[in-house]
Amino acid sequence: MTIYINSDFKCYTENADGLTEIETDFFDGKCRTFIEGYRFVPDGQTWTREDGVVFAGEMIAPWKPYFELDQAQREYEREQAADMQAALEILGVSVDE
Amino acid sequence: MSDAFIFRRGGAGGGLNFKVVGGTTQPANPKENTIWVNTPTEITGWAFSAAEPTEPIPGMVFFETEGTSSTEFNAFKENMLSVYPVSTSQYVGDAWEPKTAMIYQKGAWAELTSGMLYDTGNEFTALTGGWALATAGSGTHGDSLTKGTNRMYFSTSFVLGSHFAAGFLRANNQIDVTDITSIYAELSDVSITSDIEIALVVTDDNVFTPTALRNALARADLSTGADIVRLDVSGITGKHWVGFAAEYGTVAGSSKFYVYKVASVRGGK
Repeated sequence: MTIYINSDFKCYTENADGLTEIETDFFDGKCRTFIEGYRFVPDGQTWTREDGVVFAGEMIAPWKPYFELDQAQREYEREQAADMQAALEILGVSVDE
Repeated sequence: MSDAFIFRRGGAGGGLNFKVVGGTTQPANPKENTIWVNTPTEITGWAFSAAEPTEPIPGMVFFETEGTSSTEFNAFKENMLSVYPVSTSQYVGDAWEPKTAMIYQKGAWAELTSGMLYDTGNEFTALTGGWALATAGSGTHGDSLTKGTNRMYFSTSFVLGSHFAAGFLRANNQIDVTDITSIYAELSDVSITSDIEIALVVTDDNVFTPTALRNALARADLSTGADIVRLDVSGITGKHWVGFAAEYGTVAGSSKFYVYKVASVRGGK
């Protein structure tokens, strides 16, 4: 999928001025909250953390607490499943068929 | 900075901000900075130093210290003497035996460790459980591991119609990264063929199949010729699998590298 990163390599799901387009399958199936809690450092570039440690790309790591991102993703997947179930019911499809 | 001081059991008197106890049962009601050495041998004295005591007495415990430790503590109640223990051994018979020691801090037990996960042949088994290839998963995989005296050699190959090049070399125990801000590895002879991907990962999938890499919480890719790979884990807490995961490619070939060190770096989060 296509994502976008800013100068600090933080991820975005929508393009805007100053963002760089990135193609990656790492976030396939992930919700916006999950994706935008990550940092993507492309191959050939480096990111310096505020404590001075330098990380070389390609590196993909959460900058927000992962457990929060995971919770958001699980909620997203529950909503997706509920939507699918509702659609099946409208179509008259039973899971037992 | 580490300091060296030696006390005999009971000989230090008051003023100390820690206590060393032995036995094979973890103390039930420890005070802050209680250090429990898991040993059936009576502790006759102890030393905190960068080097082993040259004239140990039987039963003496030696806590090796370095410039940093995940279990730093202040040795004195009133004055300040920071101590950075990283490993423990006891003089039994006529030799030093490695021992597991834990310190009670802030309501929890933590193992005295340097943060190293692998260092030129030392697998830090007490913490990591050793290093090995993941075996769970379906299908035939072409990864292999050779352990040398000072390094590990990992390779993975893809053979069309035979096996795929996925694989996962990891510590046998999940590693708690709560107080860890980064993990790095020192490598050599990294050779990654065309479309195979190998990365240093933190993951919850302990399998040799590609999901160990695809579902990683964080990953830092290896590249041909690289000798250091470093992964930011400051956004991750809890226990997870730590190691090198490979994603199979579609072009016949193999990828390989030597690992000399894998270390976790602690810091504030």
